Amino acid sequence: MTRSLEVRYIALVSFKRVTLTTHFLSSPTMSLTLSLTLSPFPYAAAALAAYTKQAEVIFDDAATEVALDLNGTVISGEEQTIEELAKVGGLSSDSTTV
Amino acid sequence: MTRCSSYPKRSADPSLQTPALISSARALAKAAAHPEVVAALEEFDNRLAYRTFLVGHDIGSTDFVLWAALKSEHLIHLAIETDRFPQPISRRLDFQRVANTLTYSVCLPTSTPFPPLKMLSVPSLNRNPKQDRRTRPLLPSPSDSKAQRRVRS
Repeated sequence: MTRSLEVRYIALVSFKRVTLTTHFLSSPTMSLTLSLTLSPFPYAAAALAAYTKQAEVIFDDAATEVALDLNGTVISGEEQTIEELAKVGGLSSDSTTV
Repeated sequence: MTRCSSYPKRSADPSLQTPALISSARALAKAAAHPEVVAALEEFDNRLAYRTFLVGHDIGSTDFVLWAALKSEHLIHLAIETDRFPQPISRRLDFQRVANTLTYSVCLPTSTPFPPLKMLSVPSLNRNPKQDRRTRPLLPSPSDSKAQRRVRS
């Protein structure tokens, strides 16, 4: 793994809402909202958001599905969220060479 | 120059591989029967036998999807714990351990207790504190009287 997955975080807890703040490469313009009670839990989307350091992860119990807020545009669904996070974070495997 | 025929062929276009691998990983996460899980794991196991990452030379979205699939299915953990897939798939567990620290730190903030404090010096009951300075407490306890403090000092 060329990039380490060292995620430094500050958990800000306010009632039932937890914000996971990483050391962002730039000012975060995206936020990933998900609930801890989602089943199956969107691990891939949460890990991508934390690894790419491009989106702020917000744990909200009121969320019914994972949603990515991209400059006001809300993308729902885990598949679309993963695709968008991979594109923004430069992790989309389509551009790599084998 | 002849190529070894037993060496697995690689597709030239990785964009063709990524959707298929992602769908396989999603199928792995949804597989309920143990034979399906084993078959899907063997597919990934063979692919990771000579690769570090599923597609390309760096971590990609496919790796995250596979990791999520491995994490979400208890049957897969059972298969890994029984050492059926010791080598390539188990490399993912290191990545998983890192992410576990992230997950547990956020989800279960009270589950990680502080490490126990180690006492540097334990005063013995049979010794006179005046004779041995090492056993003297650094700070007087609230129950000590002023007279005792004078004697100690």
